[in-house]
Amino acid sequence: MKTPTAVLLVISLHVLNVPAAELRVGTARTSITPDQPVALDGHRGLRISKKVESPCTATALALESSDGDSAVIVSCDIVAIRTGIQDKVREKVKARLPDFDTAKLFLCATHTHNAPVTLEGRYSIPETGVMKPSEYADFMTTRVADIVVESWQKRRPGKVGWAQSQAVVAQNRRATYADGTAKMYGPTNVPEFRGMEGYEDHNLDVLFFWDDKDQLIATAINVPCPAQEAEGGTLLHADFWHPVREVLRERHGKELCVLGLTGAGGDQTSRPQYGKAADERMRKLRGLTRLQEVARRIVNGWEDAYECARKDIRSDVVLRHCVKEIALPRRKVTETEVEEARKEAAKYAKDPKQLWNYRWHQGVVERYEAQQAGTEEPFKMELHVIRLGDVAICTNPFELFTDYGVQIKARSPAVQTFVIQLATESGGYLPTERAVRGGGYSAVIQSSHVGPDGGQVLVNRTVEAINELWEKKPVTKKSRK
Amino acid sequence: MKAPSICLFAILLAAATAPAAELWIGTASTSITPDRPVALAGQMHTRIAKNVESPCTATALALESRQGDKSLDHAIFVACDLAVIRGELESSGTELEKYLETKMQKEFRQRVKPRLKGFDVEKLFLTATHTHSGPVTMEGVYTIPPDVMQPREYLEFLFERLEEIVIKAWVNRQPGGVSWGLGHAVVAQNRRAVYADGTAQMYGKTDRADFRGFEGYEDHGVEILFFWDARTNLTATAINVACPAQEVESAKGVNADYWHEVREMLRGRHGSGLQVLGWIGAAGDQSPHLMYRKAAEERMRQLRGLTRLEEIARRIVQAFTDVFEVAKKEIHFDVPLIHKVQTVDLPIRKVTEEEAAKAKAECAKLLEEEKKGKDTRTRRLWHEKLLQRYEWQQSNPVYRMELHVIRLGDVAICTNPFELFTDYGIQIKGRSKALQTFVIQLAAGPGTYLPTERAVRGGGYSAVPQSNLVGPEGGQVLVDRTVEAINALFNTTAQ
Repeated sequence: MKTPTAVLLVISLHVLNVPAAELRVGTARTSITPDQPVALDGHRGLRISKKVESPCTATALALESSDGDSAVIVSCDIVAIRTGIQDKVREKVKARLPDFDTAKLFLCATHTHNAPVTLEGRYSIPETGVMKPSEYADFMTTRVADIVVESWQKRRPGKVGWAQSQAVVAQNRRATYADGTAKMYGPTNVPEFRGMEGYEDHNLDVLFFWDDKDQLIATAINVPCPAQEAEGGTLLHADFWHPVREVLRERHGKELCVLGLTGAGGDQTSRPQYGKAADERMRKLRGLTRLQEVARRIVNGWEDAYECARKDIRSDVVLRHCVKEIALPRRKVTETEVEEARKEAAKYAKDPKQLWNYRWHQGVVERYEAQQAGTEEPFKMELHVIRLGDVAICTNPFELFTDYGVQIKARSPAVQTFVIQLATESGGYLPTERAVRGGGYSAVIQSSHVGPDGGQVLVNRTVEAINELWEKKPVTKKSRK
Repeated sequence: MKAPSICLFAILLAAATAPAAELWIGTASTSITPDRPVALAGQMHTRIAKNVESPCTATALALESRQGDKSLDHAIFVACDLAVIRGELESSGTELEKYLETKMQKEFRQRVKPRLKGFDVEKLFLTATHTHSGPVTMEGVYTIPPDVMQPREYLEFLFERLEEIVIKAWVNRQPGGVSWGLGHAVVAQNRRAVYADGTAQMYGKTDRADFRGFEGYEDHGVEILFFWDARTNLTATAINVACPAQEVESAKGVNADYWHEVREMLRGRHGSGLQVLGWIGAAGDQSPHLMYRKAAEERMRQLRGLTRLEEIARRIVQAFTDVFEVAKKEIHFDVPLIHKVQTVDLPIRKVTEEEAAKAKAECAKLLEEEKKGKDTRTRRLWHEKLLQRYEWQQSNPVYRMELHVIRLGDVAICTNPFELFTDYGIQIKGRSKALQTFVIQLAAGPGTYLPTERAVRGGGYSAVPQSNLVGPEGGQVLVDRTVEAINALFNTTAQ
């Protein structure tokens, strides 16, 4: 149904009568690249960095509304926000920012698989010559705390704009086969191949921030694809976010802060899964590396969005930030699954080089025991939901399969909904029902603490929280001239 | 196994000394928009177009590979702004046969045959862009008032126009070059929403609490061919977008849908003489209609000051431009052109007794409504065909389709007559040995939706038996035979 003009007029008048809430914006960024070799996170095997290919960085965006709400979002070039990392940053910030509620700070990871390990006990790391994960975690959290403080203290009246565009970056990485199975990175050139398991979200949601002199100072880009194009090897790097930042800074000023926000993309990768030769030929004819090609698509999409966002810049938007803990049912371990996990864990138990594999299987055994003993607790996650003008931003700690992100976006009342995965902590993969049926890495019990039941609760609670922010103070679907 | 260097050297030497096969290219286009009111195809109810919002056109591309005076192989493609390639001038056979057979293309081939000297008319095929605002080509589907151009009259007009461009393209062919590239445009939207109970619905609501996601994939790859004259001026392009052109399907005027805007934009940039062939990729489960994020899309469109058709065209043209910059670096004048035409028998989707009984009851209900003056004829015929198929399937267990597979340099082009679900196109692309594979649906004959196994499980329009003459079993045969045919062409040394 179309809104009659008279109703629109009434809404507009109402909007004009709402006291404007001034937006204050602060930004800061830092390198979180260590100056000594580190173990690299994200793979089963131990990798020690030998060289820095591109710096891993963290970028903070502080937002405050004159009517009292706030948020600090920190995007980090790291595989995940491992347990304890966000708490450490909050601790380090708390005393230095007495006027800021640190609960309204959250970290998120771009998922580069070539950044340092931050948690002890995941790999058997040599005692000497390599920075320990705990040492790195201390270094990294101090750097991040510094930029949180800096961004908060630097906040000034600013403006915001938002827009969406498209970039074909995410590729569904789960191939399905005639027997009903699925395989992550499975071959697509075999007769049994039946198609990709699910959807690809090629939307690009972008926020733009300007200072009071209309200088673009920051942008937050929500790409539903983890930054793991160049994973593997022993180079430390920020994956595709590095060339994205470089190109944008070259065009829009070297001080531009770029927050890479990874959308729901648990079943996605940026690496082509079929038609690779054609993609490769185009890349070579353009004279680009794969990272530059991915960045080119994101920057093209960004520029497309920027042209529109510039036409609708706001300085008086609503900022509401809701933080809550929600409990998700854990995925139940079956007897068959625990038997298989026991056998696998036993196989790896005595080999220190197989620590990752041992833990991966042994974790299932421990979960089963807790499940049987009745001591298993639901998975408690910290949920952030922010309303910024017509935009909703919501977080989850998982590698959340795309379908859940699509559900949230489709059901959200916001004009644009930014879904940020791998935020606040690390919850593992969260597969869909069809993925669980298909099996394979990322959908098996070892990969996921929370399954489709929990995924649905996550979607429902998130949508409810977004709706609440839209119900409380109905504002501006449109306030531009 | 890699060939030893010495063998490679020998091959290269042989290639260098062999006379190059020259590529000859001819193009022409015409309006296929009648100057009288006409019924529009694509919906379950009758619509009469009284005005022309954008002209429906047809574009012919003739290709010939020649070695000196010797013709090695050839092809003529005719891309039409029509819903489907279906209809006939000479009435014969049962209603079901008329619906299933490639009569329109057969009749057209016979018509042009005497004028296409040296050309095997089997190597000409027609394709439809699937505009839902183009003229009806088949009698008996809609109740069309007598003062409106009848389908057979339109078909006669269409054939005249198509004959003109086919002859022109073939006769005027000249030596030229070709290049190819892959781009991306987010145009296709998976239109089958799935719900918690396992059902699926075409254009189903996505803001429901029981919405669980989209049934399948979206193919945003745009495969593009560029054709150049001897002086490397761009003369034609064939753009393969895996999305039917049906954004404005409810229109009451003739409308070529997004291809009109694409053509206009491209001609604005590359010259008014540029010929543009719109080829629709495998996309039975895709549509340009937005399924979610509608408010954001709408806002962006308004900020850009564009119509939806212009917005879709903007994306396709962006992809075209992106690829053009690269493709113009590699223009080939001596590529292999091999065109194979074969018939493939696909097992049909069998109508069960229960499905037939339901359809019978539905027919009776709709007939009653029709008697009361309601426009339910097309819906009734939809069910009635299922009943006819129930009888027909006893003696006709296969659907015979015409398959074209063409190798043009490193590119494969393959056809199918269906609204082929995207997964099948992805399978073909995934398994093809070609550098790029163009899958053209709604080509060389009349087809119905061809759904995947998961779609049949989910049900809903486009996956129910009324919508499908061929089901997943046949879909797999189609993929396997197509891949075999493509790979047979690429077993020889690619250039």
